[in-house]
Amino acid sequence: MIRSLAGLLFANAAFFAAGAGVVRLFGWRLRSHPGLAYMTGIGVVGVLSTLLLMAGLALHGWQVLILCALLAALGLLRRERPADAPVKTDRRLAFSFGGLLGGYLAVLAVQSVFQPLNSWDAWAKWTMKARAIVLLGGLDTSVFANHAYQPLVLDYPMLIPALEAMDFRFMGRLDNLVIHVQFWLLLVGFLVAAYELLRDRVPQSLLWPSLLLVGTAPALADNLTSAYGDAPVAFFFGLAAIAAWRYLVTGERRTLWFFGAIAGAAVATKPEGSPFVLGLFLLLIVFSLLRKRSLVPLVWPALWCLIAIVPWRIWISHHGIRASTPIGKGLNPSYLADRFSRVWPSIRTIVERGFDGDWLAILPIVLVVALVVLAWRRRWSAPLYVGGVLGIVFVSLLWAYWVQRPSLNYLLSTSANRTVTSLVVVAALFLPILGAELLRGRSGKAD
Amino acid sequence: MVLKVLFFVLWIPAAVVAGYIVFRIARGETRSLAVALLAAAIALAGLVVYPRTLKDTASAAHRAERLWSVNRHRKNGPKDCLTFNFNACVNDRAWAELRHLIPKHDRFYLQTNFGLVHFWTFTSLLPRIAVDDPKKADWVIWYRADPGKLGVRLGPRHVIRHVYTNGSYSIDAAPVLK
Repeated sequence: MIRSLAGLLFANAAFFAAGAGVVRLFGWRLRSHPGLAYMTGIGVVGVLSTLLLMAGLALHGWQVLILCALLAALGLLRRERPADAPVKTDRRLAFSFGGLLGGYLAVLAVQSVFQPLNSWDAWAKWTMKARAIVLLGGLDTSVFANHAYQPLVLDYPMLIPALEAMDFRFMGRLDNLVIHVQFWLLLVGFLVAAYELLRDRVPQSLLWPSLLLVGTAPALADNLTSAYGDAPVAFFFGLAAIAAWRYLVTGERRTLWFFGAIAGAAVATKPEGSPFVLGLFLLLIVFSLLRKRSLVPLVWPALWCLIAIVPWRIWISHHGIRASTPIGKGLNPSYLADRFSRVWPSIRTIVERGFDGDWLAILPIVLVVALVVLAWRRRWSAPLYVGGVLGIVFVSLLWAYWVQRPSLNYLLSTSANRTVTSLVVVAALFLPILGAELLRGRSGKAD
Repeated sequence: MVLKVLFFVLWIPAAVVAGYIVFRIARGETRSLAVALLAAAIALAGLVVYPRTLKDTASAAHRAERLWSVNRHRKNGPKDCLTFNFNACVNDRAWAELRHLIPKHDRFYLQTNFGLVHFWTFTSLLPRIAVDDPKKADWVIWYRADPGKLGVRLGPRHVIRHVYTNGSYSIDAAPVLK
């Protein structure tokens, strides 16, 4: 077990080094933004490893190390930018809320080390694919294009299986227990990155409690320790959504590059990542036009997102793999009309699961604060942006339940409690942003 | 038990006090009543259930550690508990015997209507490859099923028992005679 843990931590150190080079190239300082570096490393290495698999590589340890070294070397292309103006940290809040969060994460880490792989989709689909990559030496078509394995949703993007396969390579064994630590590290990286993106934009007294709220939500822990893709896609998309918001507010190019890298990771993690990110781009275009910003810089992040998914869609199409979500039919009005009876039960279930007590009232608080900001402070920008992001996630989930082939009862009962993770995690990240709008309204700054 | 109840009852006023302290800090930081109220509400929402969350996570960690510990010393090899409630545990030994029997990269056809055994066999037997036609298979594996109507001639049958830790069913395998 110790050897597995050491191997997994070494793999993640390599991902961090890769991300450190990339974020330095973007213009972030590594010392002040290690969370962004880690999440970027995971995202970029994850996307590139999917491409390497399609190119016929097996993700051997030395291949991963060369990839990470090349990405780390990108940091040498740019001189480190001067330090940003220091953000005053409230030590009372940092010690108390950080301590509570740290204590909880320590217990969750212990659970992650010993957690058996006892979630059906994890051992039958996600981790199974990672095992197949390791045991068959890559993306072997005898499994990944074999109709006998069709129930394993072979069309799903490969970022998580590729990540797990790289972990297994460095572990030197297929350790089904310790692999859960990868998901724990993603949670920690997500929380640190969210803190780094928000700390100079929102009051500390809103930021720390919000991070505690989302980090300790029991429903998130359940999702995380199940080793499914729902928590990772929520983390990637949540960070992409607040990075896009930060870009709109500050106009920083480095935030836009980070947005692109992390949005690409969301697209390459789960099928719903694609409509989430497509909607986010549309929102970004609308708000950029409203703020009279050039749309040209958005081209590069969009290109990276296409690189993250289009080759994979071509690969599965070339191998005749049936899509689990019939996208063509899903845009056909008569097909949608025939299945209209699926809409209301889906809406009801998504709302019920999103408002579940194990999500600690995150959605109700966000909705109330958004309404207060709109109605009382009459500031439309942030509430509409947040409403837009949540609307994108909600409509994407609804559309998926509407068009997918399996029976609705089965789908809702087996997946709704985890697919709403993106909805609630994104909402939680925008809590301090909406709260800060209350403040800006008071001080009379421009919207 | 009484102490537990007492702790959770006492925790709620403690969380309210903590929420009030956050309110004071936020008021001092932002000079805004609305922001201070929001900060207190968020803090309270997180803090009220914090002990329960911590306790549940610690219990889950303890249960997982116990299973790991039992598996290390288990006489008949480790068991794999494949469902969230730990109720469906299978003997890893059954699949280890199949792995021993079927050479790597051989193709097998699996006949069963039991999803858990179906998918666990796919996962456990890698790099042996499943096929959807028994005629393309080197081996047929079956669980609570009759392979007689598959239309292929089978060699000697290997009976491997028991699949579940608390059941008496076997999983069977036989080579396909070409």
